[in-house]
Amino acid sequence: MKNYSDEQILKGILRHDNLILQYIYKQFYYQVNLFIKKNSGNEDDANDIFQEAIIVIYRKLKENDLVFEASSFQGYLFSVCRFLWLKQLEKRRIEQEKINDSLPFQEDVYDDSLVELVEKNEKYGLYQKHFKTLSTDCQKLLQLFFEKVPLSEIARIMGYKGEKYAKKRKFKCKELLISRIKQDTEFKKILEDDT
Amino acid sequence: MDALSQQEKNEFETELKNNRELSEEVKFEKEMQMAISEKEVLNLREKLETVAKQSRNGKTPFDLLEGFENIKQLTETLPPEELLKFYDSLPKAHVYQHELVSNENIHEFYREQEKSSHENNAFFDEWDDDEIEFEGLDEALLEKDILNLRDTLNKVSASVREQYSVEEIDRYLNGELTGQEFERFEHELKVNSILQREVALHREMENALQEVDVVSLRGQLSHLMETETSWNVSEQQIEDYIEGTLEGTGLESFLSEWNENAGLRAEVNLRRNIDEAVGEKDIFTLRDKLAGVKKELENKEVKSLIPETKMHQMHWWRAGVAVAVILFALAGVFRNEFGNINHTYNQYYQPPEWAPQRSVTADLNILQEANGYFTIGEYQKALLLYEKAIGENDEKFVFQFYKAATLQNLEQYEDAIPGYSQVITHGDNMFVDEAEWYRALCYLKLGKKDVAREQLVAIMDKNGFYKNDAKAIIRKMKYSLR
Repeated sequence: MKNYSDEQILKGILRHDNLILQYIYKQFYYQVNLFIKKNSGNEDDANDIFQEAIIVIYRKLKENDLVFEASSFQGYLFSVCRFLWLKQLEKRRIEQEKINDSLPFQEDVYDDSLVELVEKNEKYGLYQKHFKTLSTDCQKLLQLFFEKVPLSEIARIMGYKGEKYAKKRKFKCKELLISRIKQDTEFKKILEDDT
Repeated sequence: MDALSQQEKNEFETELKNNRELSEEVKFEKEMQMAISEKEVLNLREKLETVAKQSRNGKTPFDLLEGFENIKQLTETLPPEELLKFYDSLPKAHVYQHELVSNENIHEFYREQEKSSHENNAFFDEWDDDEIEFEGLDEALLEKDILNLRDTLNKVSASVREQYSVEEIDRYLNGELTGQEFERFEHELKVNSILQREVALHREMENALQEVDVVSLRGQLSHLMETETSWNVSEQQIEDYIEGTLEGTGLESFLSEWNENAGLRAEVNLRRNIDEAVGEKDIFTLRDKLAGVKKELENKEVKSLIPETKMHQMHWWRAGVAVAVILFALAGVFRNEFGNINHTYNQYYQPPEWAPQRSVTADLNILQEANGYFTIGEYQKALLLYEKAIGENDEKFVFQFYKAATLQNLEQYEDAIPGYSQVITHGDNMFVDEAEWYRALCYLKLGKKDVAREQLVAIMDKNGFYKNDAKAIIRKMKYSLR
């Protein structure tokens, strides 16, 4: 398999390049998987953590906030994965008596900005997850509103009778989305962390 | 609580939020009630006070000095071993030692201090705690109805739902509230923490849902993880294992994974097969030779079309014939290609079946009437009915689908395509697959091969009902001239 440099990997993540994403997965996933399984997790946990770590790195790249001073992409990725998993263990009230630290990490990666970004990603990920559970009609409707498409145009695109009906449907969809978010136990845990 | 009406309750709650003194009083009453109900703590406190009194009065704690006849007569200290031997109890020995050193100056001083503070407290000691009376306390504690009311009001205020609906919050965020409505909302927002949380949630949610790139990346990663396998070993380890250079703990962990992971075994087999195939040099050589032979034969066939004449005289004539042959061949291919498109279309196109009960809850009367016209080929009448139904119904996709199908039957392919697109865009219905298929056929019929191919590839990737037919058409298109 071809090897990519850190710079190529980061650019690939920004572009959502499938080859790069596959490379990252094939090169690094198994170590993260081992670490999580050795620390009270399973395959699904490893999948989620690995995916969210890449998303966090993507967010950092978007904010131009990612600099590898004395580390590498691998080191940064592993550090983020470790951080996310420890946070998860804390939420599950699992005692972290002794972490099996088979995953090499860098302590200096854990700064306030990373913590903030992880928390934001957690919240936003939850909202997005529930958004995807809405009907395609609702999803499309809400997207059109968020894109500030004129109401009359939205009504035409969706094939509705008029603007009032479009607005009414929007409120219904939003209400449904909010109620689903609030019913999620993860949301309650996030609120507890905030307070 | 029963005595208060809903309005009175609301007013009380509003007053509670705005009036600090009232809220402090309610809080104090609550705390007092909780304190009163802590019976076990009260009992313990009494016991501890009793014990403390006993020690002030000189009574020995727990009678530990039993057996010491007169501790003051002891003039020499006993070594610990003899003490233990005599009194066989460490606590007793400890108390003995304590009493002994109480004769020392420090302890005497302490005793004097204690004595003086006891004298000071004597005045208060005369008072029995149980006899202290706070004016009105008895009455206050006996007001159970008031206590219940406060408790219930507290529960009500904790469980009160936000007074603003999703719609109102949305309008506020979009700047649609004006005048008094806006002022009322802003005022409520300042004092109502629940409303503040709601508004913050709405704002965050909108920001989150606008992150199309993140959502897309997440989807891509999910798909990747579903389709890719993980073997819990590195690429290098796999290669080393195949080469036979993996050893020690690396080999052990690899074999452990091998035994559990079928995906890993499949990957190793695949790589071994590739290595073997790539190593077949004799086959490569043979293949090259065969390709060369084929090329030679093709050249000879072309040459045989042109009759043998003297080279220098027949040069231009031969070239002209060759060009003519090529042109005829090309024309034949083009004709063949277009003929093929029509043939392919006719081979694969079948009018859709009548099945509106899928995805529809609306009245079927119009549909049934329209279907009647559709099935007997009176497409114009069917069209009118579909158009009318689209204007009147929310669930338009079923009418849009059959309207598009009608237009396709009328060979109005350009007009049919938007109808199918609308059904596909709607997405949340059972006609999507068919709409995609028929739309692809429309593009094919119109000669828009690139678009048709793109649509057919998407159908194939979707792995649905039309996958094989789409694949077959793509194969046919592959071998026609571009």
